[in-house]
This record gives sequence, C-alpha cells and structure tokens, in this order.
Amino acid sequence: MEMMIKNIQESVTESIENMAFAEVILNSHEKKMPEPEGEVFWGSLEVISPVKGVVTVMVPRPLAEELAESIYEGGEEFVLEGTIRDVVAEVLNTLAGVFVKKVTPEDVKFEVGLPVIDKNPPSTPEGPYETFFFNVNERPFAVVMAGFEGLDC
Amino acid sequence: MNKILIVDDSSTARMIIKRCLEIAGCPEDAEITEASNGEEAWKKISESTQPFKLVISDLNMPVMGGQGLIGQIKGSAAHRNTAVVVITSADNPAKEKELKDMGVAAVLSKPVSPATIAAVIPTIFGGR
Repeated sequence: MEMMIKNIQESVTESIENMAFAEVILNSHEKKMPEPEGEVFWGSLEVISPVKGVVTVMVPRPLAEELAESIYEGGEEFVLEGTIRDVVAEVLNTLAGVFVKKVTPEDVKFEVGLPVIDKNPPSTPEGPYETFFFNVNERPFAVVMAGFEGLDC
Repeated sequence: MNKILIVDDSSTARMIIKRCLEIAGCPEDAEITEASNGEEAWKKISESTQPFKLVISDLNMPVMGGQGLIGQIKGSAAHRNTAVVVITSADNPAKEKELKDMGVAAVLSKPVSPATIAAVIPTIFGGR
C-alpha cells in the first residue's frame, strides 16, 4: 500500500501543480466513499489494460472554478459550465495517465478510456477500493481507486 | 506561413498546448488552428490549400483517435511531410516506439510544459 500511496500522491501533485499551479496535500486514505458538501463534479475514467480499474475524482464546484480560472488565466471561459466540466475531465485524464504510467512496465502499452463527468455521485464500488482525501488550495479533493487488483505498486 | 493544428477532444488541453506554444516561442507567422478529434483534423488538413507544418495531437479521442489521424497523414503523399507531435497521458516507452515507427517526430507526456514543447520546436521549424 505504501507504493500505491506514493504513486497516487505524486500523480495528483504532478498533474494539478503543473496544470493549475495549485497546492496539493494528501490528508488521509481509507475505504470510504467521499461525502461531499454542496455542489460537486464527479469524474470517472476506466483503466482498460494492462490492469483493470476505475479512477474517480470528486471536485467541489468552488475548487473546479478555481482550477478553471487558473488554467484559463481568468478568461471569461472559466465561468461556463462546459469549461468547468472540461477542466475536471482533463485533470482526471492527466492524473490517471500519470498514475497508470508509473505502475506499468516500460515495455507494456497501456489503454485508458475517456473521462465521464457527472454531478450525481457514483455507486459504491463492489470490489476493492480506496479513497485518497486531498486538500487542493485548502479545498477538499478526493480520488477513489477501484479495482486494480494484483497491482504491484 | 507556418500552419499548426492542435487536435484534442479537451478544449482545456488545447488551450494549455496553445499557451505553451506561445511561451515556448513558436514562429511569429504561425497560424494555429484547432480540432476536437482525428476526423475533424483530417478534414481540415485535407481541405487546406496550404499544408500544415505541424500537427500536435492527443491519442485518446472519440470518433477518430490520434493513431488513426497519424495513419491518414503519413499515408498521404500530399501530407506525409507534415511533422506530427503527440501529447498524451497514455504514453510510455513501448507506446513511444510504436508511434515513432509510424513517423511521429516526438511524443510528449501530459501534463505538458512550455519547456518540453520548446525542446521539440527547433527540430520542427529549424534552429531558432
């Protein structure tokens, strides 16, 4: 589990700090779905091969707006709902890719699906999962890793 | 004129790449166009009266992905000299080898930075 924690922390930090210059701190991890307060965006992305799993992020709207404002440098686009959803999707796509690359041997190609964004919470995974609770710019941000059985990371 | 096409289904990714190009110092006469998937990109490439100098493409996109687009470009007598750079979150050495065998000039990982783009620009547009 230590390597999993390290890989998740590095993937989230590398992605969000580079994309939006935001401060990322890992607070805790446990087998418990996030319990959001207020309006949130949920993003899910399937990892198809060589390992199987689903990466889900929970991003409260105020944080999603801050990330959009930073990435779009305060342009008018950031307030649009579609832009905010797209920012959440690209953050998810990037951090999932960074994570899967870290846990895949260099001589093995990997395949991931397309991110799906929703405002309704996903159902609790039936199999093994772990939620990683972060603070990004002092706002809550969670990553749920479901599946990934047998992953040696 | 140096025509550049950025292909990604995410408008956020296209915006980040465009900003990195501007910071990295793309040619002053560069004209940047965008497309949201390989099919839309190929339509713009094949209908353009002046060939694109550089196509920057993601891999994982709906309708037509990046590898389909690369196959179209490199299989076309009129466009096979167009440089293709892939920027993706789904790359590793095995994927990079496959893409370079298809004729891709460079493969960059997301999150992309101005520094990584600046490193490949001279190879596309000459010493600058």
